[in-house]
Amino acid sequence: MNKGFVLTMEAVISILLFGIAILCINLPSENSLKELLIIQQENDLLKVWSIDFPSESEMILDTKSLFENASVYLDGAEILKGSGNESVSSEGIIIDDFLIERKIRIVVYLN
Amino acid sequence: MIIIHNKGFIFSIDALIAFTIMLFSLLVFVIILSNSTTQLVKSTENFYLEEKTIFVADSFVKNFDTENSLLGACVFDLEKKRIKSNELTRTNFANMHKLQIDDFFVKQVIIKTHLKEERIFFDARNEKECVTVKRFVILDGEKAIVLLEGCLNE
Repeated sequence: MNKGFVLTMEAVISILLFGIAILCINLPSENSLKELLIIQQENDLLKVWSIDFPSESEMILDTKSLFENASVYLDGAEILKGSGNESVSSEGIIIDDFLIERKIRIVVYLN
Repeated sequence: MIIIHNKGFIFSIDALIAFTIMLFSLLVFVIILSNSTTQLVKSTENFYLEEKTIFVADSFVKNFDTENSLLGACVFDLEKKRIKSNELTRTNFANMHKLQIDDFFVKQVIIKTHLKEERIFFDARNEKECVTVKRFVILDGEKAIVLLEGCLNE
């Protein structure tokens, strides 16, 4: 009875250790500054557009030159369509050539 | 005699199994630890390169540096006494020098406009790994894309 108990404990400890080893499979997450770069690029677009307010087609061309998958909203209307689950977005209000406030939102999809 | 032999035999098998499992657990541990360390080193190295390239590119399009234009090539408005971020001028490109931060260096800077693509800076050193950052600017009144390539020394 005692010997049996001792042997069982050994097995239990071994199995527990094995279980802990399996549970320890925790790969370090990838550190990336991708989101920061996207925010900087979105702000580049807003900054450049605030210097010289572009037409809708120019906005689309400029956005496509930087991002593969992005949406652009001008005064709430989507002028460039993108899709995805995860995104990084920036928003700004720019005064156009006719001194009208224009609300621009750029959404960049990560996947 | 037989009883002792049987008991000893049973005990040995059980201990052997337990010991094998222990060794296997240890092996799994070592493999995981080794993989994790390799990935962590790689990830840290990439992060370092990415960080330096992004920050140098940001400085290039946001600042004005009289000593080395790689750290700032923006237009400086003398009247308003301020830097016009994201507004670059070719005049400042003449003052570009090699930039080295520890084992990081700027390999090249390319400017792309609608009409042409030109390399405004190039460092011929051999590189181990590189990252390119894209920024959107106005260059002498024309929209352009800046491609700054940062690398690690070989």
